[in-house]
Amino acid sequence: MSTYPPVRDYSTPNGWTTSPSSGSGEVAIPNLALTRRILANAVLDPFDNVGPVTVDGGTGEIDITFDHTKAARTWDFRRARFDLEAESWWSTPQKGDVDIFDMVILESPAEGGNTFFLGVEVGDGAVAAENRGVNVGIRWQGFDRLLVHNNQSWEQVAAVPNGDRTAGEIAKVRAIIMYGSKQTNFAMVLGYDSGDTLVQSRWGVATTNSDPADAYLSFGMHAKTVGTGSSTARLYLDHIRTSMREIAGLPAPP
Amino acid sequence: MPILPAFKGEEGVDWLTAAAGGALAIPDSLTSNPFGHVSSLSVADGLVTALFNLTTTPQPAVKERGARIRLDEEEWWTFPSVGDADVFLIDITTPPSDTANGYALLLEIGDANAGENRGVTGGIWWTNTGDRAVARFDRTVDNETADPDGDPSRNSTAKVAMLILYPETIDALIFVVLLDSDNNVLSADFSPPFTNVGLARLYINHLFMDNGGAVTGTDTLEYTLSHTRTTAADLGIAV
Repeated sequence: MSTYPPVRDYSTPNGWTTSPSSGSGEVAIPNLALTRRILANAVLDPFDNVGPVTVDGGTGEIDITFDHTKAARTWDFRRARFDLEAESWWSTPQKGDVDIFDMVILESPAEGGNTFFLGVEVGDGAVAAENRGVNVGIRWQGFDRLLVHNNQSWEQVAAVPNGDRTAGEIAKVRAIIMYGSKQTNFAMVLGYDSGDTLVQSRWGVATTNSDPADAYLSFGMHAKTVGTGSSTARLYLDHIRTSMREIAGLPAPP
Repeated sequence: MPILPAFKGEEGVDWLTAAAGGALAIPDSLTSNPFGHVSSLSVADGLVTALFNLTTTPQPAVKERGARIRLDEEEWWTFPSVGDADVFLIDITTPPSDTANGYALLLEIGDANAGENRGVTGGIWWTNTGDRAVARFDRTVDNETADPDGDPSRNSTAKVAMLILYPETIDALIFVVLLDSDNNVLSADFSPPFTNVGLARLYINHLFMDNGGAVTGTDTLEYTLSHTRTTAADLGIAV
C-alpha cells in the first residue's frame, strides 16, 4: 500500500490514515454471489455517440468503441445504453431490495484528452428519454473518477477530497443501490484497483421520483479535444439482486 | 456482564465477524437517562428488557436522546473505516403494549459531542398511527414522515435490519428496513448524507415520545441486538 487510500480513521477525530480495512474481507456471505450478466439485447445509441459495441455471448465481455469522430454530448443527455430492464434476469426492485453491480473493467479508454463515462442507471419509466433515478459509474478523462448522483443527467461531479485516481487505476466499479419506501433509491459507489484494494468511494443523493422501472448500462463520450481515432473500453457486468433481509441473514417469508 | 449472544444464524446464513469473534456484550446499565424515560433496564442472555416510565415527560421528537447505552465501549466494537459496512439487527421480542403512547428505539453513530449525536440515527418509532422506520442524520432534524402508503400497523414490526456504509466523501449513511415476523418488508428508509466529524460514539437509545395513553406505571420493551462488521466489498462475492 503506498499512499492510498487515505481512509478516515474514526478512532481519531477527523483523522486520515493510510490503513484501509476494506477490499479484502475475511468471510463472505455464501449466498450473495454476483452473477456475470451476458447482455442479450441490442445497444441503443440515439445520438450516434459511440462506435461499434459488441457483447461476447459466451464470456459476457462487452467491448465498446468510443469513436472520436462522433459528436460529443454534454453531460445531461442519456447516451448509448443497454436496456437492463429488458433482460430476462431483471425485475423491478421493491422496497428493501439492494442491487449490487460490479463493472469489471478490462480496459479503459486510452485517450486522456477526451471525456468518457460508463455506468448503471436505475430510475423511473415515466419519461422515455429520461431515467430519473440514480446514475452510478466512472468517468475517464486522463484520470479515473467515480460518479454517483441522482436524476437523469450524467452530470459532472467534483473530485473527492483525496483527488482523482491515475488513469486506468480503477479496475472494478461496485455500485450498491438501495430502495426505500419514500424515495426511489440511493447509491454508494466504490472503486477498486487490480489488487482489489479500495481506492475511491462516494455516495449519491436519494432520488424522489416514481418507481425504479427502468435500468440501463450507459456509456458515452462527453467532450473531446481529440477528434480522430478511437478508444476502447472492455468490461464485464456482474450483478446480484439481494435485499436488506438477506444481508441481515434472515430467510425469505414463507 | 451479561452477554448478548451473537446472531446465531439459525434462521439464515451466518453472520460474519461477530459470529466468528464470539458473543457480543452489552452493559446492563444506562450510560445516560436525561429524561428518566427508562425506569429499569436489564440484560439476560442477550435479551434487553427496558421499562418505559410513563410518569415521565415524553419528548416528541426523534432528534432527542433518551435513555441510552453507550455501545462504542464494548469490546466487539471498533470504529469503522472507509469502505466498511456495519449490519445491525434488532429483534423485537416484546414491543411496548400501549399503542396510544409513542416510543422509539434508535441506534446512533456519531461524534463525541456529549449533548448531541451528530451522526446517523436508525431504528423504529412506534407512533400512534403505526410503526415507522427512522433513518436520520444530525440530531437537529425533525421527525420522520409516514410512508406514502401509510405506516405499517402498530407493533407489526418484529425486526429492524440496518446497514451502515462509510463512503470516502461523508461520514456515514444508514439504510433501515422494518420486517414483520415472517420477514416481509414493511418499510424501508435511508438517511440523507451528513458530513460532521468523526464517528466516536455508538448508542442504543430508548425514547418515550408521546403519552396519549397511560400516564402511570411502565410499559415493557424487550429486544435483542446483533451486529456484524463487514465491508462493502464483502456484501456480495465478486465473480
